[in-house]
Amino acid sequence: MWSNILKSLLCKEEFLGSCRLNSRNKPGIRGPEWHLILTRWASIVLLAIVMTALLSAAEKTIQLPPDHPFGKLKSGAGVEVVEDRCGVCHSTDYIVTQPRRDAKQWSTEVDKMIRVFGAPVKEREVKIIVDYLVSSYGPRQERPTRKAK
Amino acid sequence: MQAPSRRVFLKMLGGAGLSSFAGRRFHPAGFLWGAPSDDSVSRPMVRYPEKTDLILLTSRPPQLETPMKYFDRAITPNEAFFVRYHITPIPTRVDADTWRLHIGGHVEHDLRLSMNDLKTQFDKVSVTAVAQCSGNSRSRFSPRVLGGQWGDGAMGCAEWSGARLRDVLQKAGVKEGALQVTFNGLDTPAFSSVPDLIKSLDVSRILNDPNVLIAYEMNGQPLPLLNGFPARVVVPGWFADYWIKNLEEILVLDHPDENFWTKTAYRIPDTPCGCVEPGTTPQHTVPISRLKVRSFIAFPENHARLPRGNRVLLKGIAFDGGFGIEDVQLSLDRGMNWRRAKLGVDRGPFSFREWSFAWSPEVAGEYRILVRAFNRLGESQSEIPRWNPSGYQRNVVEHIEVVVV
Ligand code: HEC
Repeated sequence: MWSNILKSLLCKEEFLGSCRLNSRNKPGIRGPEWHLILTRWASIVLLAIVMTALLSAAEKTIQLPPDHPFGKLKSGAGVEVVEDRCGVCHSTDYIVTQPRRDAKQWSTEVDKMIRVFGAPVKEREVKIIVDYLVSSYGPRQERPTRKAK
Repeated sequence: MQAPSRRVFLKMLGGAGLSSFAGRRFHPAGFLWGAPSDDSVSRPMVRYPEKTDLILLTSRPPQLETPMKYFDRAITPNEAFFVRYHITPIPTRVDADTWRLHIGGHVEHDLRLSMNDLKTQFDKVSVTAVAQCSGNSRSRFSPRVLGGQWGDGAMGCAEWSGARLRDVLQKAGVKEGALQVTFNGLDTPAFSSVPDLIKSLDVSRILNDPNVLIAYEMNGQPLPLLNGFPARVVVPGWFADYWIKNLEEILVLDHPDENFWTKTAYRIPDTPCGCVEPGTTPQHTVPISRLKVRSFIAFPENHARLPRGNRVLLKGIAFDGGFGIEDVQLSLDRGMNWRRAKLGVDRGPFSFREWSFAWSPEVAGEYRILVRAFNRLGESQSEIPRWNPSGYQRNVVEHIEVVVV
């Protein structure tokens, strides 16, 4: 890749100094094209500076993408409360990727978020959140257990 | 650690209502291995800074999983290495020139090391070692458990280079009575009620182990930011929760570490197998530590269709907690007969060990191919899944299913 960039900065066929020779040989071209040669050299110096800065990697800055839509909560009664209360510390993919849990299990989990991590959930919101979680991510209707082949 | 004692083994079988199979090695029915969940939300591929396409687990904080196809070789490329953060926000801008590593607490001299200090005042050493999340493969647990629903890609192996942690501690001068050493990274929770991610090791553990590093290079490159730039702790042979990323502070304690992530989280049942009867709560727990023996088939991929009569070279990796892999075996008949795989280059006892196995299937049909490894102590993988409530240290015999056509 770098060799290509370098090439594009140089003469079509050969390296800077030798352009002169080349252009001389070509009909209709009198001498070296100094302005071109100078801009090309300047670009090379600039590129070298940028590359050393990149390669020394003293500083790294990254930009993180926004929450991915796959983690979006299903619609349902109380979903706004869950989005508000359960989406502040982490994206809601934490919730949608979990195995299905029953009322007792979800209520233990919500309790853990409040007690252990200090989730800012008001007393009356607990039931709304647990009800939502059970109806959206609660146990499925009876389904046959996976059989081994 | 040893295979489950016979008593626990029988209890586990009994608990699963399968006591009639007890004592048999590898029941051909195969359902004992616990199939990958078919209930999980299908997870998208995403590309994060300095990373290639990885499987998204969570966006905020970022948790990204390495696809199985990268485990056909000993070294996981930096750009494909899994990412696991706990708390938000995570550092998104780090300048290694102004970065300082603070070493303090119960020491003679408080140190503030620059990257240049770290590189010039201490020997540079390298070790090839596996980083595996404690909860790798958690989504395979049955009954299932809450937590990050990883597939099998929360693991990777790299050549880590940096300063020995013990050299750095010796420079600071560990005082009499020092017990434990805590590591803290640049990630600090926005909510002060969320416990900061701090992990610890015993002082003696560090002083006796020349392989515990403060690594500033990963496969000869500066670490990707999401893998811990500018430096991270590397604890070869131990689960990755100790390998604190974007390292900022090391404190020597003269008392036991009481932090949440040591005292409450990352603990396993205090039983010989680190397991309990599925669905039950352990009475006593201990911090998770050494990796268990595991092995995987990376090629062909699960559910591949293979042409009959053609030779196919099966490939994968095996690893353990630092004794070294001695043998990898495959079974093409659901565990009745086992054949030796060919091992690749030995990159030391903490590394992935590559293996390959040539197979020319002659008969069309469905095959379940099993893989198991043995380390130098003779430890291997469990025949039935061991269960614990946090979904840690899974090490069951792995398999893929292929169709020969
Ligand atoms: C104050 C911060 C905070 C809030 C608010 C919060 N959580 Fe969490 N949550 C956490 C932390 C910290 C973790 C553990 C992260 C880890 O281990 O990677 C977590 C993890 C989880 C997990 C994964 C399983 C586990 O226990 O580790 C689930 C599920 C979850 N949260 C659900 C919720 C729900 C539902 C709510 C809303 C009631 C909520 N969270 C609100 C901080 C929070």
